[in-house]
Amino acid sequence: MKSFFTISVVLFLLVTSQVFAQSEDYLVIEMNEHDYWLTVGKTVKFKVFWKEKPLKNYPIFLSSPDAKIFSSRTDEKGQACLLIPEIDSKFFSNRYATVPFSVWTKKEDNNNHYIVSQSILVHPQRYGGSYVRDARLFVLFCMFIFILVFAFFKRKSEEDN
Amino acid sequence: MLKVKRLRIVVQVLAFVLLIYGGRLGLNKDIFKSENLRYIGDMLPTFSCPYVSGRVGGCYLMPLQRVLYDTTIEEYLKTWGWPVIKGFFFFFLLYILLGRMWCGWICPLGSFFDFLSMLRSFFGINHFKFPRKVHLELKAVKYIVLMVMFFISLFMAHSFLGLGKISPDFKLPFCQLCPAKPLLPFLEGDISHLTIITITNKTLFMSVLAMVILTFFMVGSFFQRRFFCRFCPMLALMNVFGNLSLFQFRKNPQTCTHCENCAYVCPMDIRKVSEEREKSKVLDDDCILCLSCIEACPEDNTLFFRFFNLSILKSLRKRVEKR
Repeated sequence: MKSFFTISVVLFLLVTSQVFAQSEDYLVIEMNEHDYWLTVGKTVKFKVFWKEKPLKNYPIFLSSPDAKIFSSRTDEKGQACLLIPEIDSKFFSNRYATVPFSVWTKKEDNNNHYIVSQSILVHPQRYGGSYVRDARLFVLFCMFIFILVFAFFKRKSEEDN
Repeated sequence: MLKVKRLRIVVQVLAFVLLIYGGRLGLNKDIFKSENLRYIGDMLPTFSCPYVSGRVGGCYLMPLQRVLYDTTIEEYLKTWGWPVIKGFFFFFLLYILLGRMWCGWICPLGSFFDFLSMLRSFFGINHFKFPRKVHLELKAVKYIVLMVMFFISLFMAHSFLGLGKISPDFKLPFCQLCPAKPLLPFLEGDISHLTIITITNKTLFMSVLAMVILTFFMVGSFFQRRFFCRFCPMLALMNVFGNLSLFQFRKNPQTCTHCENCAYVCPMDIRKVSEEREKSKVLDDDCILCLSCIEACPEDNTLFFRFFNLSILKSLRKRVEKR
């Protein structure tokens, strides 16, 4: 449990960490969903802040490993939703691999350009992801088959004895 | 009089709750201050699955596979194989402490399958037994599983004789197929491992096979006692140490009448204890030290279980007559 919290905190810090270009003015992307196991097909909520105030009607981008960029805009509360899109399966090298997506936004002042970019790791394995199928029905089906098989052999062995 | 069967069920339930739900109860392995103790906690000779988030401790087979595919030849040469030896040494220490009692009394997967057997008994269904020949032939399977697991992990990191490396899709080959991986997290409310992964053909094959293996052992364990343990590579790994545990199981061949009570009650269908006529060391490769045989033996002081030279349990005619 403790390690789970540690991972959550580390991820939270990663996502919400602030890339400083200037000392006091900073742009923050906060991810509302602190799920360690993000998956393809899931909607993630973000909040964009400037000097601790939510930025309304502001662009936020999500770039996937196959270089596609998806954008959205923040609402009145500075919130934006982005759907983690389908990507080519080659980006998931194996069932345990995580694939980095990038979430970013930028603030353009008269003098300064700040770009905030964070990686989010998308995992293929967690139930609900596009590359993962629920196997509960399959398990029940296999159980049914094996019950028949074992019952047959049990009966046969009892007859032999 | 001590009822071993009842005591074993109590210990199994306690161990099951501790190992699977202990983290949620605040008994996380992180309570240990020392890093080494935490390290030892992941070398357990039981199927306390590392995929269970609230677990306390973890099964040794995962770090074993990991160290094999994570360690390069340069590192082996530089460290004299220390990363592999260290884990194996701690596993050995834990084995010395309790021996096969890890399997019969503590293993959460074994306990779950025992609970299935109890369910079968509750419904009044007799257990199924393999014919003697098949039973003896199946003994080799666990060693084959262990060797395959070992070599796949090794060949994933190293290319021998120009054969090329095995695909990382087969990483942790035993864990991918182990029934504990989908089953024990499921008992904790996590269904994320009851899945089929369609990323590549290899992941599809492995995940479908894992589900088939899970159901095979679940149904098999309902019909036959300790069905999975007959194929368990952990038991094969323990057999490397043979009789080295502090707990010893012995027989007095002079007083044995070969009544076969011990063979009848044995969940692993071992006949060696009954058939041995000369030697006192009768610990079979498959024995899980459940001690059912001692409880069922009708001859005084014929079978006994001891810690060093301290007798803990011995067979008594009175106990059997009382039943």
